[in-house]
Amino acid sequence: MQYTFTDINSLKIKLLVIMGVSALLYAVVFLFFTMLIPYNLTVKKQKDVFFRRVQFFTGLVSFFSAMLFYIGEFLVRGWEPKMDPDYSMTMISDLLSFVLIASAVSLVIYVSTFWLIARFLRSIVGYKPWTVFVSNSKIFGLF
Amino acid sequence: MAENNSVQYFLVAAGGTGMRCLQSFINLAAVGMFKGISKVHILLMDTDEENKDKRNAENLVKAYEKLFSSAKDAPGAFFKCELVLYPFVPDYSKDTRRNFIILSQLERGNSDVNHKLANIFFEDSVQEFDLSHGYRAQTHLGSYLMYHAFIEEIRKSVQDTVYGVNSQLYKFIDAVSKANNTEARIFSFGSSFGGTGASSIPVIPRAISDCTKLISGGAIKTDNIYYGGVVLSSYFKFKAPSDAEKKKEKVIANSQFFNHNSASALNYYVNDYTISKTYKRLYLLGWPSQYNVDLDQYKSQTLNISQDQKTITGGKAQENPAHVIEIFSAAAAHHFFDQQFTSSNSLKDTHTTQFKYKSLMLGGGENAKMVVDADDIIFRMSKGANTTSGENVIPEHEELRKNLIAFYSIGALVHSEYKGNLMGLIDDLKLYNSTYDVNPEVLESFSFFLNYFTLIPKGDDGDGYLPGWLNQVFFTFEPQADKDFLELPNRFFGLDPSNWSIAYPELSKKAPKNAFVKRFKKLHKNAGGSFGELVDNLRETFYSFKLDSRVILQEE
Repeated sequence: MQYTFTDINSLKIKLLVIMGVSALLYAVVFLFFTMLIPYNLTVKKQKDVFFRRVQFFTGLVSFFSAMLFYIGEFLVRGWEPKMDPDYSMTMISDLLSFVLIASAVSLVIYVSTFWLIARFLRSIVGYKPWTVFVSNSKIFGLF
Repeated sequence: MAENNSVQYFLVAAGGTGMRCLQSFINLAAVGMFKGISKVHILLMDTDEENKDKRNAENLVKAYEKLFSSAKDAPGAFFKCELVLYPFVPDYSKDTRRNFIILSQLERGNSDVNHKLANIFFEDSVQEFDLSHGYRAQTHLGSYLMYHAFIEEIRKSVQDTVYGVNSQLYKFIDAVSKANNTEARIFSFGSSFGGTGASSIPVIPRAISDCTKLISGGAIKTDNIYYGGVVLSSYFKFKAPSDAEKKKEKVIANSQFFNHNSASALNYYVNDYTISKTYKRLYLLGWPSQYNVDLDQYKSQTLNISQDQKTITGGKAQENPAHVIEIFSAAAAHHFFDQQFTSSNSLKDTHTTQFKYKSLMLGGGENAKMVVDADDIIFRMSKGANTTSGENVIPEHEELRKNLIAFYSIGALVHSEYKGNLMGLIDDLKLYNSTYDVNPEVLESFSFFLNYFTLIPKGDDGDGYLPGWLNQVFFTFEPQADKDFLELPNRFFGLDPSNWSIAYPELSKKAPKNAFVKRFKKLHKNAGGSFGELVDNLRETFYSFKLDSRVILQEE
């Protein structure tokens, strides 16, 4: 089967789904990492919440960078041999320009997945992931 | 604990031992032993204003009162029974009241006859010694003077209303008089071998009853006032006074005679009509003399305090360590107050003093020592299952044990992780979105109470700790083997708070702090609230962990 220009929207959806699912899995993995950092009770300044936030933002930045600069293009180039040669250049440039949007959407999925699990599945994942978003009863401990 | 709402409860603590029994009562009230009782009126009596044990007991009640105000509306078991303190110290500090001769005005009127009469009952040295440090084991004199002090104070209060408003004894007696309309239970703490306590215990019922008559102008029948008390025999010893001290002080307490004093007192308590017709029940508490606590050894070994060679007669220096027998005294009060053990009908039907006692298990091996299990503290009656609903209920003695250990664990945790500053724990819980609002005054009182219960810092610079109340009990008990004391590993107690988690097998594996907060969050989610809610949430968290136990408690 060859992709023609009429398939461009389905390819964009495919790209979006792959990146979205990756974001979801990535969020679950990093949420698991935040669960590994133990609660600490200490007379010194607490660091465990800070480390969880570092993990969360590391996941976020690394995922966005990977999607934007590597994965997106990797997927598009992977589809290139199956594209109709007459339209491949146009399709690739269209798809590559869509990578930014797809990455941004997957970023939202990463954050919202993390937030939703931390917020609503506390009985399973515990309270640690939630401290990434809220500590001292304030958003990021600040607002 | 089952309570009858029409019954009012009163406690009388007399002398140094009475003060320490009272401290045990307060500490056990804090951990919920008396949670079914709404209020206990406490008359604190000592002849020695400066006695450190008395000061400690007073400070403890003051701290307790503040914590009760903050915690009374919260759920749970800690600080649930109101304690109202009425301190009464017969004033022997003035020159006009400092010894028997002056106080009894032997020189007035026909002094020759007065002296001859006094000489029939008291030796010269007893008539002359300074009363400001108590009755110094001279109970025959002490009983006379204590009764006199009661009557004198109430007479003054009745005659002078301004004086009466300020008289704590008058307020106490007034509360007893009012309670007589329904039912009043009065329980006494004091030793049978020392001075003030041993002097006071025999005359308390008579003194209180006569005082209520003075207040009411004789128009009262004290049929609804029931008396109970402990008869504590000797359980500590200290260095015998030197010849020079004996010569200087003339009358001085000597622990060598405490056993004899106890034996004589017991004989009196069993046979004397004034006791058998006034006290409904007496709890006999004794300790094998070979295991008596050597105070000098305790101070030098446990506290690292080098002792001077002087025998302490009282005053600021009289501060003895807590002992497990004092816990049993508080447990005796629990037994007397609790409707399920002591019903109103049974008291009404008791016409002569009942004597109660219980025995401790002896550990194995040579030189075996006693073993204290949880059900030694509270008399076992709760069956562990609610017979009407069929649901499983934790037995009362086990509940008390868990509360006691949870309270101790909170103290050790705060010392171990926050250098004794509870605010650190509150801040950390706030970081995890559990916000508790505790005002500084309550925080200060709780820190004081917690320190007194667990470990008392030597200084602000991390110089180590002195044993707090429960640790003192542990040290003076000297368990022979692991888990002989409250079925817990010996390492849990002692002067190292970092062992706060080892009583709980689920916590002691690794990362106990993580496991503790995890359980705390699981149980209480993002709950916050007042001081009462904070301590109860901490209690419930510790409570939810299984305790390390020597044996599985079998219900009878």
